Amino acid sequence: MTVLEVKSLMKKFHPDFYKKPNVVLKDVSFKINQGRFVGFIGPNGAGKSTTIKCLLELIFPDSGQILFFGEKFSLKHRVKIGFLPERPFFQEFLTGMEFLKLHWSLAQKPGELFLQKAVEILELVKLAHAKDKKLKDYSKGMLQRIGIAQAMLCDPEFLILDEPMSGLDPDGRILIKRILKVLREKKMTVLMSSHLLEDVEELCDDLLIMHAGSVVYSGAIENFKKNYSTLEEAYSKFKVDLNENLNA
Amino acid sequence: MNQFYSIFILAKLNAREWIRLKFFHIIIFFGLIFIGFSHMLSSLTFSVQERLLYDFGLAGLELGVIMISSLIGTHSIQREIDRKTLFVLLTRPIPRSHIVLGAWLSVFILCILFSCGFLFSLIISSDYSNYTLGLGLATFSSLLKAMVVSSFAIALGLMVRPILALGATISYWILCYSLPDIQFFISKLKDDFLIRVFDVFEKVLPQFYRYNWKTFYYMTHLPSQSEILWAVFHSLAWTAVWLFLASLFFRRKEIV
Repeated sequence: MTVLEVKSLMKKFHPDFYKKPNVVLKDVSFKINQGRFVGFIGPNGAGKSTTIKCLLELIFPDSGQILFFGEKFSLKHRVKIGFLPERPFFQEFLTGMEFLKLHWSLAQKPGELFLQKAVEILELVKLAHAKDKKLKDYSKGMLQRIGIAQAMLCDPEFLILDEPMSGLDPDGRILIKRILKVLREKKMTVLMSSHLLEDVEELCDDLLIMHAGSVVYSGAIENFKKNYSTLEEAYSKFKVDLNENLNA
Repeated sequence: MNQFYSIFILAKLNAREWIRLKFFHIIIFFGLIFIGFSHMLSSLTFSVQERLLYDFGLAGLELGVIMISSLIGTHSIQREIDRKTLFVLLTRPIPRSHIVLGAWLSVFILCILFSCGFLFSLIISSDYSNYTLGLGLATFSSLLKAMVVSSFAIALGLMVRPILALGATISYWILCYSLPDIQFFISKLKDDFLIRVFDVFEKVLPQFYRYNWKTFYYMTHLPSQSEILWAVFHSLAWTAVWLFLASLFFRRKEIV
């Protein structure tokens, strides 16, 4: 079953009315199937974050279509989606528990089920000890983990993680990776944007590569690196070939 | 019903955030200074002590609620966008109009908190307790104006930078008060074009001067029921217009 289908997405930004528009997405199309953990990679400025923002309706594409579970994206689909932003900017005056309660209430979930779910999710992200601490006293790694907790809190069917391991220390990365492995074992559908190829290789089933506003590869990770020992090697060769093709 | 509950959750969240910020404390501090000054000025005169106390005190109250509505109103949503705390909230199953309504409600809650505190302090610090109803109505009229001003501030804060919106909001508040003065000067000029322009202005601006009950005169001459009802409907209608425009604009605003 296809969870997400993106068809011919295009997006231009107009920095100033007298300047030429900046084309960020050119004809982006891809599909994500249920139960697949998809690594979303590409250089800075390739359009990964813009694509994610279009998926979440934070920005609006100039043309193209986004289908969730075969339907046009609407409010009801947001219940099925969990999102972790690139940088965890949350309401720092809230405690971890209050923060989760806020998102639980906004997702219109029944209040009586909250406590059980919150305890379960805080255990998973190893933050049970800090549930009554204010978010301003959380470390970067803890903020990232509470961010993952809010994304997973309402039992989403599709998770979007925008660079979940950026700026984390080794301990933080190990912990987040463990959580992501649990998600993979649970066969959750995940789109994870990342610059860390070794993490993508370890965690993901499929790969989505963007370059200069277009999707240049979409498919299984095993197929992508079949002639190479690591994803990094395969990606380096792929980039060389891609640049040669573009120059030609 | 559950859908609308999110407006209250967002309002509570916003109000909590602003209460802990220094800005709100500064307004409370100036409010207390205003009450102190009102007492000081009234004690300098023999005959019109009550008048000075309430005229000055209630002017301070209105200034406070207008500062809260304009400053917090223009910054409330834009601040969330700049701090990127809105990103995750917008991915929840709530319409964008609820963010606007939540922001407006939070500003209004802050105005109510401030005016209740101010009024209570003014009453307990004065010996005259005969004007409770008049004081209540004066506060109510200031809150009605704050309702309109905050909705205008939120709408404009979404369209232009908050600092520009703030300037425009304060100008709007002054203009809505000054319509009779402008009309007076225009009538003296006897220019048909200006008279027609003024007629348009009068129709497209709220008429705050018609419920300016924050003076001592209204402590002894309470406004009639029909005047109160007119003020309520007039303010509600203008608030609805601005909140509708704000929601319409925010619906397609790109959160980059």
